Amino acid sequence: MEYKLIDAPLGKILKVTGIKAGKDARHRLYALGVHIGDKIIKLSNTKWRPQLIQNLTSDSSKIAIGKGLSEKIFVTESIDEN
Amino acid sequence: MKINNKNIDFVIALVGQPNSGKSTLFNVLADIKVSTSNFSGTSVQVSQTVLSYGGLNLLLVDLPGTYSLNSTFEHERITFDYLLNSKVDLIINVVDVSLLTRSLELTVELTELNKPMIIALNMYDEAISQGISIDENKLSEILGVDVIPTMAIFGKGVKELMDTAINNLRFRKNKASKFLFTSKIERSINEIENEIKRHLNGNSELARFYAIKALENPELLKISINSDVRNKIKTIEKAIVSDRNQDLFEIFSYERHHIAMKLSKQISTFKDTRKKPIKQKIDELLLHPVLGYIFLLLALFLYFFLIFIVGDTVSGLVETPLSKLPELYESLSENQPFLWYSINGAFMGLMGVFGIVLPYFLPLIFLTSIYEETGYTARIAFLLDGLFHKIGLHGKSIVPFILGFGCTVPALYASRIIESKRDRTITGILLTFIPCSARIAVIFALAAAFTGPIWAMVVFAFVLLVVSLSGKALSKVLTKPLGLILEIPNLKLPSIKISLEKTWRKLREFLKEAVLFLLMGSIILGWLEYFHFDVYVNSLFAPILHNLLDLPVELGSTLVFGFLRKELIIVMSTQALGVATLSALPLTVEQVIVFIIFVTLYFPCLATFIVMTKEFGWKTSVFAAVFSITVATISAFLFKIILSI
Ligand SMILES: Nc1nc2c(ncn2[C@@H]2O[C@H](COP(=O)(O)OP(=O)(O)OP(=O)(O)O)[C@@H](O)[C@H]2O)c(=O)[nH]1
Ligand SMILES: [Mg+2]
Repeated sequence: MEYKLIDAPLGKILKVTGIKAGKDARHRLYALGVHIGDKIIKLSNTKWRPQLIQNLTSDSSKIAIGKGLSEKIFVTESIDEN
Repeated sequence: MKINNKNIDFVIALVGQPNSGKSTLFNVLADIKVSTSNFSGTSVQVSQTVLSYGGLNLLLVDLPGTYSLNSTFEHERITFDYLLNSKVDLIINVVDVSLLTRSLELTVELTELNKPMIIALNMYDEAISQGISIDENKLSEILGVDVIPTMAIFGKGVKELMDTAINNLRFRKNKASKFLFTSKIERSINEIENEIKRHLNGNSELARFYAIKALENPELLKISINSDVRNKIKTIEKAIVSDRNQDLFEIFSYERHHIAMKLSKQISTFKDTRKKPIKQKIDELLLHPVLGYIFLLLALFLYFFLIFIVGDTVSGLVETPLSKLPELYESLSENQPFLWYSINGAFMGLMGVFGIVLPYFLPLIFLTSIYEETGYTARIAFLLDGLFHKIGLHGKSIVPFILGFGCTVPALYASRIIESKRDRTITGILLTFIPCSARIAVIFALAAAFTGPIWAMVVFAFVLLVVSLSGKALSKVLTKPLGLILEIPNLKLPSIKISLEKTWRKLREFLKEAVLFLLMGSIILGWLEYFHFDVYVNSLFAPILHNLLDLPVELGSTLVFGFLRKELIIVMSTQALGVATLSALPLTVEQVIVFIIFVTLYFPCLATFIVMTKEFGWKTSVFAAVFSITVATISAFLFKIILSI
């Protein structure tokens, strides 16, 4: 099932399936090592704050993603891993 | 840049992603140098130093951190431009091994530059504690360049790194081997490369790099490409994009991502240590939706408290002996009044610098650096992002705002942590409204003499309202912000030594760049006073102060002094109106409130203006001045109307 990042479950391994944000934001995410297909995990689940994610595919960097943007990033639960 | 290039044999540039430890490395290297001369570049964050090592004179350049060479942000552009346009004999790519894959993406991109390079695998200690082990020989083999593990913060591996650098420089070791993209892309690159080679006649070293950039990010290219090439690129783009359903920028980014991932798999193994490191537990607490905020309040309280205590104490200690100085030139006032006014002007400026700005400035820089070192600043931005969204900014602006309550000048410097120019500019303009310690002193002194503390509170509340409304208005005018995307670095223990060094550098920078202007400004004000220019000044301000706000004309010249140092307003207003104490001022309570509002909001001070011009350019500082005076006038007028009802 596909979620917006903001709605995705906490602590599960998620796979990024889409980044429907503007060009600048997309480029920034790539620069920080987040790409479609990457596995990530959500570290905080509070809706009124930025979402905190950790990239599992590339390495362990933690990235805060603003609320608006986390509605434009899509993920699915990565079944084989959970 | 004022470096004398004649004596320099080679230029070494430190290039790496943000937070990889370049500056730490730079400082360690600067320490081992034999002959020293330090220069800070004209652009904000390029620092360079000359050092002699192994019989060579080297210019070492610390470039701003950049995630990739496709810079979206200004300070990343500095690095890109430097690498392309300045003489660089050797790149030291500083890689954060604890973030191996992502760091290697930049490494892969740097190999495209086709310049001599060596790699410092920094944060080796972090990697070990995370259970990552790395085969640096293998990396060296694959990349075809020397790879040295370092722990810059402990000075480990630094000597080996320098020896390797010297070795490379002396014997012109080979450049990094090139990574190949997937075949279709590679074919397109070759096609464009050939065109560009013909174009660059001779200087074909960078042809591949230009070809790649022409495809992935043509806006970055400074070389002009003729329409033939451009059409070719268009055709290729069309073919590839329809094929892969991604734009070229994305394709290159993905391919590098995969190259880096593969590379990282080849050279590293990860042993899961299982136990949750203590750092991670602390981090969970710091970012907790409830406890995180309680801790934040404590941290901010501690921050203000320490700065206030230190600043207040030092300021007291400094001001007592300083205030004796006027006695020394007292005698001049009779016979040589012009000289007296000049000296007194300079003295006022000195008081401002050493009595107010520096006592608060130094502990502020030091503590901010400590907080930054630990990685907590990024967490504050994360915690407060939502609040700042309401005024069209995001979390990173909180840091300068906090500093602004102390002194606007360091707050302006602190706004450098905001990458987006738009957000930085808005933050800078809004900073002029945040009452600094000097303005807080004026507010409290006048409120104490006339209205009682309630009105001081009202003024503060009103200022916050002005800040949020102005923020909203400015963000409407300027383009929409990029949402927050912020790396939260790992927690670290701060290093006192590094913070002290940073404070020392900032102090030197401040002394060199702002003090002269401040003294000149103060002397000129002294002259204005001597020539009784205050009469003209008063009539200049009369339309606003007198006609509109119904305040005594004489207060006009105090505003000019306030421009120099806000707390001078207290002294000068009594002098201008010819009374001995504040409470004897011939003003009604309403007038005092209107005056406080105006004084609080109109442009902070000369130092702010100078630093703002330096940081943002004169257009922004002039705009900020006009904007704040307008807002101050409107606000004061509103208060006058309301109070008269
Ligand atoms: N554990 C560890 N920490 C390090 C090491 N080298 C640097 N650091 C720390 O890493 C942090 C970032 O270092 P900086 O030198 O400021 O990084 P930078 O690359 O200059 O960062 P930017 O200027 O933002 O691009 C600091 O807190 C350093 O103390 C190291 O070898 N090991
Ligand atoms: Mg640095």
